[in-house]
Amino acid sequence: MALEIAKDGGLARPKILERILRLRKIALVLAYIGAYFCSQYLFDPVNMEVTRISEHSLMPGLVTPKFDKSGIAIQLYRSLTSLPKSKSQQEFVMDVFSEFGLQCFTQKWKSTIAGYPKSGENVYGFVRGQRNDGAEAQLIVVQLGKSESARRMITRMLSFVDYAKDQVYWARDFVFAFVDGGNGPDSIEQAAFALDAFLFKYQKIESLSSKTRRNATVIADEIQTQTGALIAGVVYDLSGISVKGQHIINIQTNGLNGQQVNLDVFNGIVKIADSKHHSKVAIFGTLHRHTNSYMEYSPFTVPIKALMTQAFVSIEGIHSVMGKYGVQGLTVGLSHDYTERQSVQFVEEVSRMLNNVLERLHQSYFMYVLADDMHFLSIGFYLLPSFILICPLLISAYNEWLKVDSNSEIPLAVIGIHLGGYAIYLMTQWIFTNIGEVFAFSTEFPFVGPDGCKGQLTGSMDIVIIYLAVTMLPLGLYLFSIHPIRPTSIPIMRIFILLEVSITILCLSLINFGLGVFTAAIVVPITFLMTFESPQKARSLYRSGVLALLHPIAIITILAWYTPGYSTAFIPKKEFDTWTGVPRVFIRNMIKNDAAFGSWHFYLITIIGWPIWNMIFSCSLPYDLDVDRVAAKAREAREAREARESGEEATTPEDPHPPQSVPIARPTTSNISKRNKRKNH
Amino acid sequence: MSVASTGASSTRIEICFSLRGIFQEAHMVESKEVQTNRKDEGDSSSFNLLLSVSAAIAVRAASFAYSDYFEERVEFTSTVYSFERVKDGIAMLDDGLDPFETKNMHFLPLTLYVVRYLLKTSPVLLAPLWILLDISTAWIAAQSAQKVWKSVHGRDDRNIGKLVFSLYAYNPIAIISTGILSLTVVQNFVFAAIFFFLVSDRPAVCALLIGAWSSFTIFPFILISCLAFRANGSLFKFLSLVALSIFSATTFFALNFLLNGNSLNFVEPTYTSILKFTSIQPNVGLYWYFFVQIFEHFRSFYTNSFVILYFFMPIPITIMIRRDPVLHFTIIGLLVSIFFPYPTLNQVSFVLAILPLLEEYKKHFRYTLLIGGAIITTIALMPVMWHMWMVSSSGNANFFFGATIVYNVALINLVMDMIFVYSRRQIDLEYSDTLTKKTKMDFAFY
Repeated sequence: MALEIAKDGGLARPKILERILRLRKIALVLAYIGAYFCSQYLFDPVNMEVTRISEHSLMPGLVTPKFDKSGIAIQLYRSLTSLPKSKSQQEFVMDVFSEFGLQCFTQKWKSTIAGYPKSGENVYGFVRGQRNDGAEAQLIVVQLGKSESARRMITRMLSFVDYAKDQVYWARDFVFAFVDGGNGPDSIEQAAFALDAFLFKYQKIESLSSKTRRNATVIADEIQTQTGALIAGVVYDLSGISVKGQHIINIQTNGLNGQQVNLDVFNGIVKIADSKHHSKVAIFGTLHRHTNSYMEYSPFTVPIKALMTQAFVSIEGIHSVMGKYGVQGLTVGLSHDYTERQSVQFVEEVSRMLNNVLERLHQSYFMYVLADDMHFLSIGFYLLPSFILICPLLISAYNEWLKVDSNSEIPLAVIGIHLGGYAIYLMTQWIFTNIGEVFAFSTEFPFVGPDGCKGQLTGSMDIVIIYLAVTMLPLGLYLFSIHPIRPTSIPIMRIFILLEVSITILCLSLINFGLGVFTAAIVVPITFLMTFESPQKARSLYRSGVLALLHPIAIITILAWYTPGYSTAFIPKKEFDTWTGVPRVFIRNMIKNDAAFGSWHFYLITIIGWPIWNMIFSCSLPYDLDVDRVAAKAREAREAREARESGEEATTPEDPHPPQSVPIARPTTSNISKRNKRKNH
Repeated sequence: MSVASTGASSTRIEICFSLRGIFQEAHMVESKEVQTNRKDEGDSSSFNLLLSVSAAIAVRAASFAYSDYFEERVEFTSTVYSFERVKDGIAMLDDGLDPFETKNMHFLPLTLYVVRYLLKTSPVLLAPLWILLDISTAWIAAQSAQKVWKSVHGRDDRNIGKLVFSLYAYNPIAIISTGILSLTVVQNFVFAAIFFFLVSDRPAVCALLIGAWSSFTIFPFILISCLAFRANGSLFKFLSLVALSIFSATTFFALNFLLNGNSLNFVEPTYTSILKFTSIQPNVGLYWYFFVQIFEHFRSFYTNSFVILYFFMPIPITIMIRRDPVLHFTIIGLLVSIFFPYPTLNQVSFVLAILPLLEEYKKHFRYTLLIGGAIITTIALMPVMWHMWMVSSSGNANFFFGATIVYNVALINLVMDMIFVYSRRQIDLEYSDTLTKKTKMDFAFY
């Protein structure tokens, strides 16, 4: 049976839409309640799916490990510890590889970003697989460093190299990369940049287009020799701990811009840790709550941490940059108390697991939220709260659509403000990339230069402070107070804002769910309430004033202040000591990560967040508009008519079809004559 | 009193984008004291036109800065419209190789030789040439629209041309396509020219252009059905126009044959590949995914079915929509774009720009919001899905195809709604004397 949804050729609206529109006033509350309970159900580990290994070829990781060269590891550790000052760790690794008779090279790299001046030297070597032609390879990454745990990991990995070169069952080549992260407090981030430089050259990205070469953020030596496509990469360190003899392995899975490692790789490693080493696995620094005998916490703690990390942490570990190059990567923090034999056997098992992958990892999930090492929620389920949250915006947009008439105009301010945001983004990035964090205006072209440049006109300025000062001023409040939008165009403006927010949240949720759902939770009520009709001047002024305070950075700062347990993952604790610390660090990290790693945060907040915030003022300021009043009256009249008609229906059941108001074309002589002619014919 | 209405009483300058007449009202000075005369209006109109054209040129020129990014986007290029691929063919010609030895060269010899000539003689003029073509398309569309408006309404009170110009000239997809030197720009230019000559009652020129264009991509040949409205009811005249079109296509074919050294080996990678859907690289069309999935032994059945269906469709549509050539042209134009095997988003830019000409049907369109929302959302989702498939590996081909198929379904819904509104309006016109307020007209969902 055909579904009747349109009456009289669309002139009469389907009743279902009318009913939905009646819910508009409480839509926001309903959506919030719905999303809350939906999330509570979905993110409870009890209702989540249990992890499993979908790719059967990963099962060989569960074989008995054979590594037995602990002595080599210990010997190498002693050598590395007593390394003379004249010899670098890079040279040491090179020498060891040479002794093993394996290929090994160094790669010097240097950042081209003025605001992120880093340089270093990576070492990489290869172990060729005997059973295949080297079309594919697996990547193993270890960070160089002077700390005791770094030295231990380096030497253990070198002993694995010694062992691996003698085995005949490798179907994939090995690429060992020892990345130089320096010894500073940001060594992991620098190591990630070093790995980025290695992969950039290894994957020949810059040869694909001249523009990539021009805009490359790093100058690095070419890779001397090549092996196959990297199917997966594992970063090893000794960040795991041991409590009362119980080893706890620390695993990190989050990549750049919401990317995550294939769930099979994670599951395989968890399985190895559990069944072969009787070790627990901690994710986001938290153990499975039922196996954690030391503390009791909410089942939602880990999912929230997972979402916060996905949303706001660009570089969780060194592996985070692998996703940019299509390499499935994660960091495994082996227990610091593992013996040489145990830790290298772990590496052997993971390598044997990845050795047998039949093709590019695809069997399992890439988009998931982990609740612990055994439970996850897949994309098909976790998108629901986002969808529910944007419903009020869509209902509101439909309501505004009904007010649009031929007098409505599309304000050019929409394009202008977005272009303004883009200009701010480009300028900030240009200054950060070419000049640095501190700059000054000069009298000579290009009018912006480094501190102490020739013709310095102004005092030196911090790019973060200037960015905050420029963007936090409510430009929209000023602009739309002086030049308000034509009242008949306000419905169009509201539709633009509501749809832009909805589409942005939808797209974000698909790529980076954490960012999408947090954005939705905060932005949806603001957008909904600020674009709602206002009958009074006081209400408009009040809400515009509130909106002026709700700058995206201000919201993030407040959020960080009130959730220190979660936000310290991306903002250092000491920054909470001053009230400007959080926004400054947040902005600096965004600008830096955008330039150095290609993170999207800065782009999104400047090109979409800031323009929308300003555009909303155009809808929050006006009040008591004719278009709104006419629409409200029409709705009331319609509802009254429907109520009357339904009353008539109840009393006169023989007339089931109440008359419709059909606008009728005036009968013309030509029409009548035409029809008569046809009848006669 | 509202803030806005307070401001309206004083003189103010508003930069706004009017749905009625964008250019006319782009810089509106509202003042009761200001008295304009005809000369002022003329000056203002010229100034506005110059401003609009300059802005359209400027945004196109700026889009060249991002060509490296967009020319790799699957939404804007396809195997038969990519300028990079034309350059590949030219490189083969320069190296003395036969480009048609490969199965991937989908450009006719004429295209290769003309572009090679342009690249050799004046490569710097390519960008201005493309901008000129695209702006000309917008201008021709505007002129045609104004002509249609005047002939339908018998008056020239509304500047519909400016709206049509803006809808095309400021369409981001058209702008980006110009920036990457997509061949769809040339196609849209020819499309606009055909429309112009159609509404100017020059069916012979139309037939020549349709034939010429069909000699490149075959599918536009169904536009010939539009000439049924210009045959004055004479079957002979219509057949003559068809013959003229075929003659034009044959002439171009012969030219290609001669340019290719009297060899017909270009037929398979160009014409046959379009009719057999051989290139299954991702695009925003309907077929690539289908032909990736099906078993090879069903292939000929489906290719034949799709081609027969496509060339059959104009017949019932022309028989049905026989009283409105503009609506008919719009529908056929959309069909050419939707069912072409290797489309890009720019295929429909011209047709979407002339939609305001369907003013009299506006109140009967049922799914305007649904279709508009679907098109905008899917265009936003296409790069997201592509990212999930190709970059983050978190999706697969289904994700991208899902977005493209919804986009195409939205366009097909638009076609179906157009057929509906035509029928609905005919009811109003035919039975206007008997329709009363109590007349009940319910329509089922399709």
